[in-house]
Amino acid sequence: MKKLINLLRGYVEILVTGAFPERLLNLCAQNRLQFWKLCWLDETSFTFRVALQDRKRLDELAQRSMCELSERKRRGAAVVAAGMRRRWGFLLGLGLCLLAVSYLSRFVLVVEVTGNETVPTAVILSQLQRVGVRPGAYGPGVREREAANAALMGLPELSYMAINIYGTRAEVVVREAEKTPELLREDVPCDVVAAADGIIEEIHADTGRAVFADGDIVRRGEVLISGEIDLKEPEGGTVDLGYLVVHAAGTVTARTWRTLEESVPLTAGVKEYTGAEHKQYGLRLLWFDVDFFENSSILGGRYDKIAQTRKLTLFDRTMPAALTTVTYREYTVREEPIDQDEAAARLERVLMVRLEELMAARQGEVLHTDVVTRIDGGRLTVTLLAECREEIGRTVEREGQVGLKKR
Amino acid sequence: MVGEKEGLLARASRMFDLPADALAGAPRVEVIGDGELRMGPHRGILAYGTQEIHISGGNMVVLVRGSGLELRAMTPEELLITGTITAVEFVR
Repeated sequence: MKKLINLLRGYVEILVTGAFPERLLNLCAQNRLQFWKLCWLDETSFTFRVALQDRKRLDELAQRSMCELSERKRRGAAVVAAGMRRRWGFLLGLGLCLLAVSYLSRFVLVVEVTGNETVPTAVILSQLQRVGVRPGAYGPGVREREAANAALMGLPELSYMAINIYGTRAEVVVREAEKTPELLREDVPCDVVAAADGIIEEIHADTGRAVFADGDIVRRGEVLISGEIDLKEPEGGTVDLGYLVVHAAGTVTARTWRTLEESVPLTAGVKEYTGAEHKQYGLRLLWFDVDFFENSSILGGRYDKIAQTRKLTLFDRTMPAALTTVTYREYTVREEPIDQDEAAARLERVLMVRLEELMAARQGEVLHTDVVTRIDGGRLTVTLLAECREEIGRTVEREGQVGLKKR
Repeated sequence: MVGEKEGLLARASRMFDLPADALAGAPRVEVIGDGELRMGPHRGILAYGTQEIHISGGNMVVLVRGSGLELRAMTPEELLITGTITAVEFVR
């Protein structure tokens, strides 16, 4: 312990030479000048260590005892600190570093989102950025609870959000909301109309009156289940009971014929790279963008611009630093006739995907398809004719209010 | 005159069975085992070496003999010597 204190205070090892060097020891003792590590060399000299602060007093005592002093070495924290006084640039840098570390560590550098499955992280990060939680935000200035509530207001797909700031890392924990079933608004009068032409295979009215029967042919827009129900008079009655307006609901399954069409020009522009290439670099540090060669000339004419961003990761964590390389590749365009078979096959695939998406939205199925390819006006056109079975009922609001009406 | 005064105090301390170091200022030498010697009060070191140290005790000189002797601490009142002490001698 004492050694450590001496090291912190700083000490100087001194060689004492004189006719009677022990006199210096006696003077040191009388003046309460502490010394240690006394090592006698011969009759007239010895070395010992004194605290750095007692160095001047020792000079006076040495004069009185007619001894000569010569320093052998200086050690300790105080000596290092004294030496640093001359290296003010280093000290300044060290101080600035410490200041920067202590100050910059208060800024959020990384925002991590956990707990989301269907809502993309980018969407959540974008909303968080709007409420002030982003790389570069001042950590103590972020009110976690308020920011989380504000972000939730803009993200109805989420039911819960918690923001925890740990130093330079903002951890965002989210829970996704359960999808609420569509409510049947019984207070709004509606009809069920046909969304497409077709032959009704099955019509079932939960509420309202079915206007068509199975096997009927309907056109798009016709009312299939009416929200207006006639109230029949009792036999022999004289009072007109009027009609009832309701929110019509039900299912109407019909066979439909869908026609989907796509076309492409018979010639297409083909890129031919000239070989000229130019690269630009950009650096993103924290929230600053640094573009190198910003004012350098770029290629004339047509060119592809390919941007590649490499983010710095440390221990599987993305750091707020990224290097962006933008490559410009010059090309010319040459018109060439397309391969018609290949183009027709590609268009057919596109149309099939569109049809499947359409059926998926209407809980339908494709029964039969026909494909017709033709060339017309310099374009290749592919038509897909599909026979389907699908739900064609679509609820449409009608005027008025629900309830009993008089004729 | 000083010597007479000290002698008188020494005699008085013996007469009244009082500790000589308290009344007469006689040096008190405390040896712990053969590795540590404390002495106080003292009048300073007269000679110093690793095998022999001479300490002034006022009206006597205390000779500490041994090997690897080292003056570990020294204040106006007391000093501490460590090493292997083989003999302590009082010389008037």
